Amino acid sequence: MVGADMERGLNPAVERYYDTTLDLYEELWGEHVHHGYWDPGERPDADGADRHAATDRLVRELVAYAAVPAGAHVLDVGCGIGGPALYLAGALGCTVAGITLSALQAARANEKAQAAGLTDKAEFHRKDALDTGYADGTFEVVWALESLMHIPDRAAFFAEALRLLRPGGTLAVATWAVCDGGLTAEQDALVGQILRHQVMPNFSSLAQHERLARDAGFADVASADWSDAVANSWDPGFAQIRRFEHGRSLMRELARDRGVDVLGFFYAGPLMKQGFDTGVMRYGALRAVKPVGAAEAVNPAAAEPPRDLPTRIADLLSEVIGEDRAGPHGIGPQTRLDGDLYLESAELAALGESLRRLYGARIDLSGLIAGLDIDQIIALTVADVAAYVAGLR
Amino acid sequence: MSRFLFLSLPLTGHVNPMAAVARTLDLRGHQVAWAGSESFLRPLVGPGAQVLPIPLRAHRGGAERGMAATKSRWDGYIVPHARVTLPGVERAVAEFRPDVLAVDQHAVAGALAAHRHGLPWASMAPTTMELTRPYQALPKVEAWIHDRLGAIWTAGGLPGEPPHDLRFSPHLLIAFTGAALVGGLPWPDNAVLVGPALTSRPSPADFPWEWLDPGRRHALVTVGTLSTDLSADFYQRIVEALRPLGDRLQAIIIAPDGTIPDPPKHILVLPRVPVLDLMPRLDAVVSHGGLNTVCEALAHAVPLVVAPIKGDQPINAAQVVAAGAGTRVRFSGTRVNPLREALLAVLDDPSYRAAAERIRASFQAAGGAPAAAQHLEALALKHGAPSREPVRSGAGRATERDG
Repeated sequence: MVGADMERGLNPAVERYYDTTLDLYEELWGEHVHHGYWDPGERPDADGADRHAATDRLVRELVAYAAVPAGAHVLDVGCGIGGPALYLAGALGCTVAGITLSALQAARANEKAQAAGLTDKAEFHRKDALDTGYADGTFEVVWALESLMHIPDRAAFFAEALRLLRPGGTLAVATWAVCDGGLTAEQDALVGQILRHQVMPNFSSLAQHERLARDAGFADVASADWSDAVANSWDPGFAQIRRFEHGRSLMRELARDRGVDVLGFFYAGPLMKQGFDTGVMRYGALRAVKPVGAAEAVNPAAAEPPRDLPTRIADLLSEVIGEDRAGPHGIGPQTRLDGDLYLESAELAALGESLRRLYGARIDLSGLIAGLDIDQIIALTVADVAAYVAGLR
Repeated sequence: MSRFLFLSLPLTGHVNPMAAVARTLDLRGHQVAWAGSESFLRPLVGPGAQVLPIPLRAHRGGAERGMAATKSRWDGYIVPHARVTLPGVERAVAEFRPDVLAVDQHAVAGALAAHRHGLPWASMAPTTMELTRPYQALPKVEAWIHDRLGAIWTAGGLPGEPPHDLRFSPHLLIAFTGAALVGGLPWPDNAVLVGPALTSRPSPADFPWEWLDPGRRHALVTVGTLSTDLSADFYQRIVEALRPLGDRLQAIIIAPDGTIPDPPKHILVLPRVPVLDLMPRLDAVVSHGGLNTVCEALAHAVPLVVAPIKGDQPINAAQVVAAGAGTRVRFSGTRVNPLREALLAVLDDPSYRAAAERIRASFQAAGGAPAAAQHLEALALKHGAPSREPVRSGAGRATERDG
């Protein structure tokens, strides 16, 4: 449970946490302060990728999953000490503004940019993600790698990301999450400990993140559960935290010098491992696109359905029914909503809601279908819906 | 003592709950008869029941899913069934002289016969299909169904238009579901929800009870009788979803021999299992959402993963989810991981079983077949049938609900 006091107090706590653990994380994990990514069955302690290669890989996986374009103007929300941002600026030729609540992290990231000769492509600032001061539509990509779970007001984050993106711009998120559905008392206690030690307000589920993105007005929202791919990050032999666990005197010294909060860093390993092992903790990527014409959706007169409208509607349908239908037999213009997909009323309502948000409030899919007879309902195709949407122009 | 004539469709899931009510009436000293196919009804209604024969006609198979299934349900099934059975139903009424008709909502010939003879009658709802007005938002589809009911009426030689929706008797509607599951029916006014009327079925004798490991949890997978192409893909995905869970779970899948090659050791594939005997041992049921399976599971407080295919199954699935007693996945195309997660959710999150417990309690309170029988008796009395004789001994075991 997060009270208002705690929300107000959290940003300073996050700032303090990363200020005080900066060197610990860097010594342990290098410049990537986030999970690694491994193939199924790959064991890091045997012949698998080491931590550094795996954290590099996670960045590449998110680039691929969200289709981050080379050379894009990127806002990196929660940039840490700049590991991912410098990859985006270097290998991908992006221009990156990185923001973090920790002034020490921002300073360290700027040092690293200098060392890499990337100061013209990457700069780092101490800023609050919900109060950046950037103008509407500044960025082509908003990138948030393991920062969303620190932000108490996630709806505000998605709304702000939408504002900061240009139409057609991409949101790329990878985040800690909790499983869907209610937790047992035992699970709740475990999650509570993780939150406390990691200075996080609460966790939401991957499905909730998708919903928040849609509610904010994003289109083409999708997410992927990467829990199995990243769980090795907490492998005890590998996470190297054991070394600290046994160094009691080191921990006492740290706690004396930096305050007791710093010890949260050492508790993360076993708690997270337990969280992943029992399925309570999840980890996922999310991608979403700011709709072209989203600004105008509020003002239907200006909405301009794109020329590839049937394809867009097919994508929305795939999302609504949650099926993997990519490929030659996927959803196309001639796919029938009832006749082929057996779309149910709740799913039709969800599709109608998406269309209305994207292309204007005059769109009334339920009304369209209510006017059809039984044979017309069976025959209704994606192309028919596209023609209806286009016809409301 | 009153005389009750039962009329349903040649569909096992429809006849089973009605047969439980018929047996209860019989044990309470009434005269009960069925109008229908002797060969189809006999195994379901028992050797002692009176069956007034109507020949069984083959119906062409229709579309399985979507609005096309609605179309073939009416044009290929309900309408022809009403037409071909009406003369037999009329003969049965003339011969048996019932005080009350108990008529399946989809056996419309019974409604016509009741009107022609001025008899009180009850609509019986063994499925949820008609109870929630699923096409309320599609006025042309509702009108299309009313056209068909009107055509049945006219073809049956009755004058003018049907005086009301023939699926709903103006006297009584008995639905075999519970308020905790459907959330109460806003309509019609004369509906009573009696909960499931569970019946023991002839069960295969050779279920390997010793295979069940008390140290692991148990799930039953049953998706009814399906066309092979529809089912093969689902079985493959559910097996993959179950494959890594062998350390904590054993699963029984009801499927024809040979449909699931080489299942892992913790998955047992059988064409028939004693479902009601198994229910008390289960932690979860994965089902297509037929009302019987859903109610049998919930009557034992077993939560469900529902993958609805057609008919009233999406309605039942939505009700299970709304009641908190299970999760829902799409039958086709849901990937292996979400399928596994849906199952693990109902296994690991105690709120699903708690909701199922609430529904079990509501079912028990609803009264089942005995409650349905009492409503039918009251209908007979109200319309002047002779009061019944003292209850015969044995009425206490009138139904075989358990749980």
